[in-house]
Amino acid sequence: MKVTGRHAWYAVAVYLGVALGVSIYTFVYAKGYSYLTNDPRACLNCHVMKEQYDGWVKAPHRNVAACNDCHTPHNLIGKFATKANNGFWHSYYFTTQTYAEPIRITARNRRIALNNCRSCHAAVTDAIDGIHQGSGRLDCLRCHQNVGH
Amino acid sequence: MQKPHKTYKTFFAAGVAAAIAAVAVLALLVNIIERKTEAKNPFFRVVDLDDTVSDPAVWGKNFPLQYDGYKRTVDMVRTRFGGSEATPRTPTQADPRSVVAQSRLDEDPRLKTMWAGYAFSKDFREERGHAFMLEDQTYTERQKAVAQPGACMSCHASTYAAHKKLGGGDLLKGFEAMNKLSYPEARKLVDHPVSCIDCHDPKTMDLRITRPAFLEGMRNLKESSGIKDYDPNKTATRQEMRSFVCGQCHVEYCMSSAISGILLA
Repeated sequence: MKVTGRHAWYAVAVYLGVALGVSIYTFVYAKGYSYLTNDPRACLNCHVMKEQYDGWVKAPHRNVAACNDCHTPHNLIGKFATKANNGFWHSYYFTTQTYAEPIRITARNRRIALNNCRSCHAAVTDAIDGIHQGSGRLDCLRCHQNVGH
Repeated sequence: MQKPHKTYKTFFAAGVAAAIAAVAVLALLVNIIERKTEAKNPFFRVVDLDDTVSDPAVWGKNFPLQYDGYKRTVDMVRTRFGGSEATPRTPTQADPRSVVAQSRLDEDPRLKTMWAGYAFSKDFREERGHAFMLEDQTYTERQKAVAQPGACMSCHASTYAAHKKLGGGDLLKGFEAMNKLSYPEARKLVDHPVSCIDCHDPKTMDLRITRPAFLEGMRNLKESSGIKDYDPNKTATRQEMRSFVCGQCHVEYCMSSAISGILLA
């Protein structure tokens, strides 16, 4: 049989189809879609977060706040930018197993969490900040670092 | 239509690219499967634990990370709240400790006068971590000043298994029996400072209360508000248990020779 360009493109289509199929299967198997939701169990996809999840389940904030409520900004763009940024680096370090335990929050993520304390507890924090003119030393997490989990 | 040899090149390149992509995605898939398998067994059972194992090193074989955290209580340098600092001392026959915590009596000699006649006027130091609680109580000068009772062991050693054994399976009886012993006699029955078994059920790892005085005290307290037969191990919430397990030892108490137990104040 004479091999024509058309035959070659069929083969390419098969290659790409297989690669795409494997990718889709991997995405579904890894519950990739769950990262678009607000479900705390998405964070538990990686067992490294089990301790934090277990702590949250048994802590008081579980009734009022999920992971994203404290750990992502309260606006749509900021939320998904943070999810993308953390999602990439968490996946990278978890896949390559190049992270140190116990895991520690980054400066950026800590800032986000701190802003969210102030967002929900504004009535209290505004009163405190008012007297002290928002001093940088006023840091909820210095004392309340275990409040979420 | 392209010429056949050019088409072959494109076709070949596309094939290689698709193969590399497939390999990369499959490698990721296998990695994800491995991580998911890890999650199914949060710990690997190396030893079987039961209600008689006081040695934290044995528990540590199943829970190495938690055991590492427990062992960090030996730290006398990087303490979170300041606290005890290592002070070297020359070991003697009677007291083999080569490091102790700083003496509060030396820091404030007025305490010696204020506490004259009281055992603490002889030796009073900063508390060290849990790892040293039994050792420091065994060798303190206070032992020489006043004959200490076995009741002191209640919160300075892993007493759960010893209480059970002494009471023939009855925790309360064992506790009462140990309280009546002299300190040196009771000391022979225990081997470790507070340990995993004192707060955890060895089968489920659930938090639990093992100190009879706390069980008794809570029962009496709850009875005063009309709740009969309160048992924290059965009815306390997890959040309460997280405080209770610490509270079963970190509590104000007074000793009474009239009753066998320790009164909760």
